[in-house]
Amino acid sequence: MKQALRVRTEGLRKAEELSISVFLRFVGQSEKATWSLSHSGEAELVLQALDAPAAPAGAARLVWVADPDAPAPADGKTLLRRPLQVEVFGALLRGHEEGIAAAAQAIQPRAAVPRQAAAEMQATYRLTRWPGDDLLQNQRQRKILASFLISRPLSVAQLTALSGVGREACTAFLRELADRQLLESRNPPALAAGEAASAPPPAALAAGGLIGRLRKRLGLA
Amino acid sequence: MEPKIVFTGPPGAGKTTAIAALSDTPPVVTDVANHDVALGKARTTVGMDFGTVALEGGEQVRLFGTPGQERFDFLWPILVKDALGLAILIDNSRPDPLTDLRLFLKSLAPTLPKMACVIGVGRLEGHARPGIEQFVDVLAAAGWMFPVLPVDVRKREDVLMMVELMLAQAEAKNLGESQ
Amino acid sequence: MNVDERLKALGRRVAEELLEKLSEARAVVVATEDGFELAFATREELEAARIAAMTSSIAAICDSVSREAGLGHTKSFVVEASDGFMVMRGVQNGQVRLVLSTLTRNGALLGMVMNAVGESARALSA
Repeated sequence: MKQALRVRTEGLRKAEELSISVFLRFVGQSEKATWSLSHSGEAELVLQALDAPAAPAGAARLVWVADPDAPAPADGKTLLRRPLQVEVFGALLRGHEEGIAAAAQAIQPRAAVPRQAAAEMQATYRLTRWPGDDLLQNQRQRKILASFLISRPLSVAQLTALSGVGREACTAFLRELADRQLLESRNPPALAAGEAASAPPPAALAAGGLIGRLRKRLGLA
Repeated sequence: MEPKIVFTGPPGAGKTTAIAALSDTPPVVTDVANHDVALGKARTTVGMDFGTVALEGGEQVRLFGTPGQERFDFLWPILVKDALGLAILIDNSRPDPLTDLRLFLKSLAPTLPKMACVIGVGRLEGHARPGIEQFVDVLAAAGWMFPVLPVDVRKREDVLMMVELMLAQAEAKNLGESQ
Repeated sequence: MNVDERLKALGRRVAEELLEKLSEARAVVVATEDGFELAFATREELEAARIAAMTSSIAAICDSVSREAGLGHTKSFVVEASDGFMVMRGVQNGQVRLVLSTLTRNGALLGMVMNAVGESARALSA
């Protein structure tokens, strides 16, 4: 049975708190656990700004959040550098689920995941030109995937979470775009289908917020 | 502020029809008798069209349609400002649809960088040229990349597809801003 | 523009007479309800075509507001600005609906301008 785990923030900036709630929709679920944001104060994991005055909660595992150039805390606890990254946060949650205490796991999550998956986490893709109908094939799903890739570079995990389309289909579509030189990529690995990294549940991210409510209302969800 | 979606484009492209396809209530229209013979229609929008989509919790998404004629270009940026999404509807049966698109891209250029925008090309059956690729070329030449779709605004699913592609862009943008 | 010459000539005459009557008036524009300038008279450089388009938008929106608020038929509408007024009035001439607009400098008396515009509107509707 899945564990229900909670994460709490202490002294983080408003934008960072918002990021954490968005991240949770991305990477808050795994085979082992479902994470949620704690509002009661009780939590298994606390993210605390290094410069926040509050004392850390007792039993919870504490993770510091600090500016990129801030000195590492002397207590040797895990440290997340700003800006917060979804991949790093995801790795932190997975690490916590596994009961891995080593701080290095969260500081350098990429070292702890298979090379291919790590490369995919880093890689982002952005459309360079709206595809022709030979590629879109008048398919709703393909048009939607292409639209997500217009605004900003996305990783495969982000595209999967935003669209609710399975990882393999996303990767295959990206490969087709790349074959036609319609894709700009940063840090690309070979676009392999069927990676081990677990995909978030379909449309996990699309469920919330105004856009989610409008989708639901118009029958687009 | 309540979010809004704006439909713009040259006269006769179907902005009023698209709003009527989505709005919960009969749209408020500001159409008047048309005196421009070249337009080939009896009435035309000169102020704005307005409709609403009610969401759970009392929130509303507002739908605006702009007038299409170039002499109303002063209204386009006013209505488009801070929109959640923008549809530029093109009528492919007009004499020069590519120039129509260029005109709207130019007039709305200051608002477009942050905009989730979709280009809908209507009346492609019977007027196959210019094709979708040529519209994509016009966008690229002006430095933009937006979805370009064949649409029939009388079909609700076509209008919804445009909205869906706007929302996808808006959502990816939000993700960028929240990180 | 699909409006007959007789109406254009009438519009021109009414615009010139109104401008003549109001010493503080900067310009008078007669626009069709879909935003074409039918006629105008001005004491200065003025983009009559743009004023015509804008007044037709304002007129259409005012009509919508009147309908929505149960106010009946819109007769006139006024822009009161720091440097003057713009007084606009809808006019029906046969099948054609027009908007008569007068742009004034500071110092014009609003009531007097509205009265003069009203008289000209009656002349234009005849």
